[in-house]
Formats: sequence, C-alpha cells, structure tokens
Amino acid sequence: MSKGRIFDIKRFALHDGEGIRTTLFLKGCTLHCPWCQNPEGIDTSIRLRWTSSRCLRCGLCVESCPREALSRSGTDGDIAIQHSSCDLCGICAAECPSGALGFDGREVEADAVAGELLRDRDFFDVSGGGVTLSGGEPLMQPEFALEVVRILRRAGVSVTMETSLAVERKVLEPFIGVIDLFYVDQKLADPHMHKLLLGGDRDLVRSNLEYVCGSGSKVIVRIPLIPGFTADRENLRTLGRYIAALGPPAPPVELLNFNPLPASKYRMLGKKWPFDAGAERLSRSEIEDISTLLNGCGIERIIR
Amino acid sequence: MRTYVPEIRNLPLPARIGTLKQEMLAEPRYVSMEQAKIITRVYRENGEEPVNIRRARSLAASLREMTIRIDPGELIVGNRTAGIRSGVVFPEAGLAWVDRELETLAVRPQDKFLVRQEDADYFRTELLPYWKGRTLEDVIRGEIGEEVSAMGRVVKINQKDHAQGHICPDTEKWLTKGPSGLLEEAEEYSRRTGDPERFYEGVIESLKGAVDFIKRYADLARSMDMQEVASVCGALAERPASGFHEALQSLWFLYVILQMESNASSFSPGRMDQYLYPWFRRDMDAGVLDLPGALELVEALWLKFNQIVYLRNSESARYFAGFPIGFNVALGGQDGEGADASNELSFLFLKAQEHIGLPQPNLSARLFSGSPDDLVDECSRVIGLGSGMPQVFNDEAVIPALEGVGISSADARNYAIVGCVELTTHGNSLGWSDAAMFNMVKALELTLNGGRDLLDGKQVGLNLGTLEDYGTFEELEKAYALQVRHFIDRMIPACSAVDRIHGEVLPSPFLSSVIDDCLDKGLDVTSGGAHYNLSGIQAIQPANIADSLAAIKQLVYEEGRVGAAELLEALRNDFSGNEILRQRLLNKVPKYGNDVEWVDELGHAWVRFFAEQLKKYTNRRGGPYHAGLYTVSAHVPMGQNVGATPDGRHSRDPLADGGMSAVYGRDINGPSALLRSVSRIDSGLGSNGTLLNMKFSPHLFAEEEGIRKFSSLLRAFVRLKISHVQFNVLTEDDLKAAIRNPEAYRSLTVRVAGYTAYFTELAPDLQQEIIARTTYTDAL
Repeated sequence: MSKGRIFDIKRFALHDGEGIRTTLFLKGCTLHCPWCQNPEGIDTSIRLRWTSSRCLRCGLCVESCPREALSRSGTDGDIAIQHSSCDLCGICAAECPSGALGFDGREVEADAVAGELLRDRDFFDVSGGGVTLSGGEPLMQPEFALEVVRILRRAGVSVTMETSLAVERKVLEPFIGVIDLFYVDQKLADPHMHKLLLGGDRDLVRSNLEYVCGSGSKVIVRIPLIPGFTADRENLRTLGRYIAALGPPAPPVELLNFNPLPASKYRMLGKKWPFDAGAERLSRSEIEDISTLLNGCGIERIIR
Repeated sequence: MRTYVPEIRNLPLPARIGTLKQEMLAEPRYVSMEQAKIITRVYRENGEEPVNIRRARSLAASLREMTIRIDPGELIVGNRTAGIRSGVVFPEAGLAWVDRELETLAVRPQDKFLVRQEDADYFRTELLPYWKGRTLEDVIRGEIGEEVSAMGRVVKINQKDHAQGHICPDTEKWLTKGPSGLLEEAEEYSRRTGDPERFYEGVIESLKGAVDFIKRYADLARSMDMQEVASVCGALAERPASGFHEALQSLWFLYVILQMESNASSFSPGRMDQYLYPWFRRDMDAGVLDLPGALELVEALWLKFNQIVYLRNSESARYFAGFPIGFNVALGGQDGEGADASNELSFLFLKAQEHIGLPQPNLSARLFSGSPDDLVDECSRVIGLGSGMPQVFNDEAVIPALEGVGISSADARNYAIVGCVELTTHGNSLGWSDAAMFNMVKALELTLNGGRDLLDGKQVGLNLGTLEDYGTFEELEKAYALQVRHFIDRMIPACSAVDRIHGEVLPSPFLSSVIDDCLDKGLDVTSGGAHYNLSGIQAIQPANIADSLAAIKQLVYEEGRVGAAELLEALRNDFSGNEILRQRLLNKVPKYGNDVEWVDELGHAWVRFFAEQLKKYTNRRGGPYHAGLYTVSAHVPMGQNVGATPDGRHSRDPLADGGMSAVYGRDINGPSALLRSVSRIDSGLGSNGTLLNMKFSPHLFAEEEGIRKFSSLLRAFVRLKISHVQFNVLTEDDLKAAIRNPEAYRSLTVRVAGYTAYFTELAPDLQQEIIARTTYTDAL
C-alpha cells in the first residue's frame, strides 16, 4: 500500500468536473506559477502552518515546543515558525486550542484516503459525479495517485484529473484509460516565458497534451486568465491556434477567471503575492472578447 | 420534460394580481375586536347552554354579522374581518397578553398593529372583565399553572392560550359536498341518533351560518356589479363547487370560516394539486379554462392566504416574524399506487410562489425517487430565487415514519404538512403536533450540575450528582436518562390536562364537520372524534446534545485532557477566564454535521431514547405520543434558558437552529457531509416532523448547470432518507455577519475550480471585496 501526501479534501465540489464531486488535493508541483491558488500545495514537504485569524495569542504553542521552533513576533502576539528547527512532532498543534496551528498537509494511505473519498458515493451516483484529483500536481505522486484511482474505479466511481502534464511521459502513461476526464492547463505560449515563470518545459507539456488527446481520452483544456501574465491577446491567440490544431475536433476550452483570493494564503505563508491589491477579475465583456478571439482561432466549444 | 412545463414557466404575472398585491400590502393593519364583541354577546345570551352550542352560535352569529368587504378586481373573495390582515382578538382562548401589550402593539419592533381608541376602551371595560376566569388560558393556569411553571425550564407546554390548529381538514369532502351537503349529512346523523349530546346541533348551527356567510358575499358582489364573483358565491351557497374557480373560492371560504371559529395557528390545505385536479381538468377539457386563467385564479388565492394573519405577542412575533399562520400547501409526491402524482397544478403553484413571493402559503414540495426531473429542476429553480420555498419533504422517509405510528399505508401515502413542518394525514387527524417542547440540552445541564440550574443555582431537577461524581461516561449517560425520564413523567400529565381543557373550553363544531370520523362518532374533534389522535413532543436539540456529549466523552473520559472539575467550573462561569478550554471544546472534538459516525450516533442515541420513552404513554384522546425534531425559531428563546454547554456554546446563546441542523458554522465538511450526518438520526424517530436548514449562494442557481447540480443534491437527500430540508439563499448580510462572528460561519466555503479555502479565513480586505462586488460572490 503506498502512502501519499495530500493537503485537502473538498467535498461537494461543483466546479471540478461533471456532477457533484469530491476533490483530493495532492501535495507537490512540478511548476511554480506565480498566481497559484494553492501555494501550500507547491512544496512536497509538509510544514507547520499558522492561521492568524484563528489564533488566540495564548502562547501555549511556544511553551510546548521542545525544539524552540516557535516564537512570538512583533507586538500583536503573532507566532513565527522557524521551519528549520521544526521536526513536525505535532506537540504544538495538539496543544493549540483553536486549531490555528496545524500542518499544511498530511500523509495518508491510499486505501484510507480512497475510503474517505467514497463517502459521498450517493451524491456521485445521483449526479454523474465522482472524484477529482487535483493539487499541486497529482502526477507528482504517480504510484499513490494510481493506487487511489484504481480503488475508486473498482468501486465504480469515475475519476477526473486536474494536471499541468509537466511530467515525464512514462509517469503519465499508466493513467491513460483510467482517468475519465483530464483538465489540462495551457498558460503561456512562449517557451522561454514558460520556463522562466512557471518552471517547466513547454514542449514537454505540449507533447504530453498531444499524447493524451491522441489516446482518445476526454480532455478539457483550461486557460487561467491572469492579468499581466496569460490574459494577453497575443498569448491567448497563440494558445488558441495551438489548441485548435489538436483537433479535429479541438478539445473544449474552459476559461478560468483570475482568483484574487489566494492573497490571503500568500500572506500566511510569508510569500509575495505578485498582484496589486486592486487586481481585478476580468469583466464579463473582457471574457466575451477572449471567447470571440478563441473562436476565431478555430475553437468551437468554450466553457466560461 | 412535459410540454406544459415551459409554458407555465413563461407565464407572466397577471396585471390584476400585481395591483391587488400592492393594495393589500399598503393597507394599515389594525387590531380587530368586532368578532370578540359578537362572541361575548352570544356567550352572555346563552349562558345556560353547553359550551359547544355557545361556540356554534357565536360562530354562526359572527358569520351573519361581521362586516364583509370585496375589493374591486378580486377573483377570490372573503376574509374573517373587513380589514385586510387584521389582528383578531379572540377572547375564548386568552386575553392576558393582550392586556399586557395592548398599548405597545402599535409601536413594537416586529409586526405592528394599530389599535383604535374605542377598541382599547371596550377591551378594558367590557371584554376583559367578562372573560376573566373563563378563557382557555385562565382555566389552564388555574388547574395546572404551578406544575407547568415548575417544569418550565426543561419542558415548555404549548397550546395554553390559543386553539391548537395544525390541522389539515377534509377539503375534498367540503368541495364535493359543499356546506349544504354537509348540513344534510349532519341532519341525517342527528335524526338517526336523536343527538343525545347535542353534538350535531352545534355542527348544524355552524354550517347554517356558513351557508349564510357565503350568501352574503354573493349579495355584496351583486350589489357591486361583480357578476362572476356573485354567481360563484351564489352557487356555492346552494351546492358543491362545479368549476375550477368555484372550487378555489369554496376552498377559501372553508379556511376563512375555520379561522373564524378557532383563530388557530395553522389550518393547512395540504395536497391541493391532487384534490383540485378533477376540477382543473374538467374545465381545461371543456375549453373554459386555460393555463394563464388558471394561474390568475391560483395567484388570487395565494394573495388571500396572506390576508389572514395571526396576532402574536411581542415575544412570539420576534421569533415568528411576518405573522405566519401556516397555510401549508403540499405539491408533488406520489399517488396511492406509488407513481408520480405531479401535474399542471404543481407547476402553477411553483409559478405562483415565484410571482407572489410572500410568506403564505407555506409551500412544500414532496419528492421521492420517482419524481420526474422537470419537477425537481423547477423546485430547484424556485428555491434559488431565495424565498426559502418550496421546502422539501421526502416521501421515502415520511411515509414509513407515519406508518410507524399506526397510520395506514393509504393515509401515509397521502400525507400533508401543517404549520411549518409537522406531518399529518388528510382530513382525519388531530395531530396536536405542538403539545410541548422538551429541552434535552437543559436536561443535560441539570445532569452535569446536580439538578441545579446553571443560570441561577436553583434546584430544579433530580440531584444525581455532578460531572465530578460520574466515574465513567456510562454513569453520566445513566444519570442523564433518569433526568430526562423525570421530566417526561411530569410533562405527560400536563399535556393531558391541556388536551382535556381544550375539549372543555374550545370544542369546534364546524371543524368537526370536516374531520373524519367526528360525525360518525358523534364526537367533537377536540374530544377525540378524529380517526387519528396523536400528540407530538419536540426533542431539542440533537446537535447540541451530540456535540456536548462528544466533548465530554473524548476530552474528559477518554483522553483525560480536561478535568471534570475544570469543565464544570468553566460551565458555571460561562468560560469566563477560560477561553482556552472553550476553544478546545470547540476545535479539538469533532462535531455533529461533519460525517463523523461516533458523534452523529450520540445524537441519534438520545433522540431514540426520547422517542422510545414517549411510546409508553397514550394521550387523552387515546392516541400515541411521538417525537418531532424541529424548533423553527424557538432555538433562540430555548437557548436563552440554557447555561454554558460542553460543546463550547456560551450561556444563553441560541441552540442549533431548525432541529436536525448542525450548530451554526460547525459543519465544515460541506453540505454532503452534513446530509450524511443528518441521515444517521433515523427519520422514523421524528414522525411528528423534522426540520433541517441549509444555506447556499444565489450564484449556484445562476446557470442551468448549477440548478441541475442542486437537483442532484435533492436526489441525494431523497436517497439518504432524510425527512425534510429547507434552503436559504445567502445574502450580503450573511457575509457581513460572518466577518463579525466567524465562529458561527466557519462552514462558509469559497467555491472556485481547483481552489480550497474558507471565507472566514480570508484576510479582512478580501472578505470586504467579496461583499462589495457581486461578481465575486460566485466564488461562494
């Protein structure tokens, strides 16, 4: 039985595929997109996390830590974590009365987590839903992911995957035929920018996408619309032409509007959120324009 | 999809209805004492007569003498007062609170009523002195006042100052026989039996009054040159309803007269889409009715349902704002053979709800696995509009639950809802669904604290020791069981006395004519004339019980992390100086509503214990007691009466809402986990009715796909055999409240593809952005 690292399970997920789904978020990613909505999922390792809004400032955690990895910072009693000293013993988290201290992920056995994912079977059955593997990059933990998928499929549950496909081909191959729907991101058309900003090889992603499409698997390509990064007409036109050429028929394209909410998580993780405070989601008419542009590239089915 | 579904969906609001609605809402509301004067006069004139005769004569006199009114443009006419939405003072039931609050009715914060000076004078000089000691309220207080107040902290005995109501009369019989047909039937019984108890005499007098009442409307309409209304009313005074318009008008007269007799909270029409269908079909087939015409008539009736309101005291008005009087209409469900029963009327009712959007009728959709997609989707769409209606009932849970308390399969399949969520059969039951509310959380408090009230230290329960004395969790459970039984033993005689006094003070001859088997038995409905005679007691509140016991079990007895003395001390001090312990209780123990079996099972076990205790008793009318799991709004006042609890709840804070719901904000694993938890409390235990509240973002309903997914949720609800669910749609105010009080809104999840976060954990500026810009709320 293989173990894997996950950072969340979201039940009643309505935007991660057909019907009512449960989404499993696997930890670790091959990319590091600056706008990542789940920055806690980028790193494979599990770290201690402090949630300011839930903290009582009681200081019990600081007193309880045997390795002095925790301290109070500033005058408002915030808790600072010295990650290099933390050995993840969990004493502070157990001591914390409010749940402000906890881990940003957990290690689980494939069968145990599959059992958890199957709890909403009644909801899957009536809605044509199932389980979605997301992340992070679910293909970063291929053995674990595959085992979870196999258990789910044996139970008759359909599995969808949200992936960047920025992995070696041999990692991807075993998933063909067992994943009912792939959501694959297409972000930046320029190979240089792709490498620089996202940290992955554009051509590897493209070749995998062509492979998945060619395999007869059901694919929906997702384009995140990020102001200053992807939501640029030239980038979108190039992506559009490329995606259209994956056909016929070209896979449907789903446009994901910019989500400014992760700023909260970035603050919590001490990471920089690379957008202005006022950075906005795209308006309805901007999305309309982009749809028209992509239609012009030969993409017929656009999901908004 | 059936072809009429899109046609009905596209029907516009009839202009006439829009105008009538505006006029109705613009009219000021007054307290009305007109009927009180008539009743008082008739009681004085008939002092020697038995009470059922006095009641019948005062109703008949009211039907003949009350000022009546028809507004130009009305299609369905009739009201119990000339003023629209008047607050009727009903002397036979009780006047004490009116005496206390008469001067403040016009200025109170919720549900104001104006009082005319001459009415106030009459009330103090004539009404109050005559009725002193004669009202239901006074008689009950005189007989069992002390017992009722002694148990009051745990058990609230209801129906002490108003007629019981919560009845679904046999509307179908009323429609097919009409008052004249019922009159003949009663006269026949009277001749055959000789009427030794003068029961039929009362029925006959009230029905004669009903015929005259309907005639008066025919005459008034004729004098106003409203020929159609005049001809409908004229016909109904003579014979049963023949067309759809006549049937709706006839139905409305029935409910007006029932309210004139009883002024009760809730008489419910039940499954109107079933019993009205023959009239609808006949007119449609004959080409004298079309769908727009049918909708206009239905909506005219829907307005009428809002014209009779219930004058409540200020406390009650706060919790039942909008003076609801519980005209509960059920649609859909299955027929006698278990096949889908929905039809055009079901969809017309949903459309009327969309158009009118007022608190009445209380619209209930019955669903089961055989409900067609078009019906489920239409319910979803209307729910998404945010009026909280239709609420949804599950045939697959309700029917077996009713069979479990001795209801025949045929009657159970034909169930309806009365009041808010109480379950009933059609036309043959006095369900007495709100006999009492049993505060299980208070009983637990007393068990933890030696029978002493945490709020004032008074000894009000059994002293079986304190939490410190119970060496094991099982010992605590044993003591709790004894405490609960102690109060049940005191509750039952009080319920029985209230039940009996209703029969003595408020017999209801007119109502008895439309409840089977009253005529056959020759017995008033309040004395056991109905075919089914139940009494419902509400067990309050499983979520707080499960969470409190789970916290004690895990932290005190299993982990030993919290000492019994420390916990008890903290509860006595309302956690003052020990917020850390309170946070542990809140955050370190799983909560009901999160699909955690062992916690949910604690809730189930105590509901089952309670329901089984009730089975040992028979009510005064010879029927069973059974349990309900709902509070509607009473979780607030019930909570004000409970000290701090081991689930981390502060003293006097509300209990969990609804009945089956999780404590606010503690169901953090989403709606599917909540439903699975709720399904662990066997719905058969709540045969009197259950209530589950859920909240969703309006944006879920913005697209067809969202509506379809919501319909799937309803299908899962059916499959999980949960009895009831009602949906509120989140508003901006909810989000603001979430910022002020994150503890109560921890379950609010931000829903974006591939993203995971809770609203209350977002930084304040981002929360504000979500609130400020509606385009963002589709994230929720």
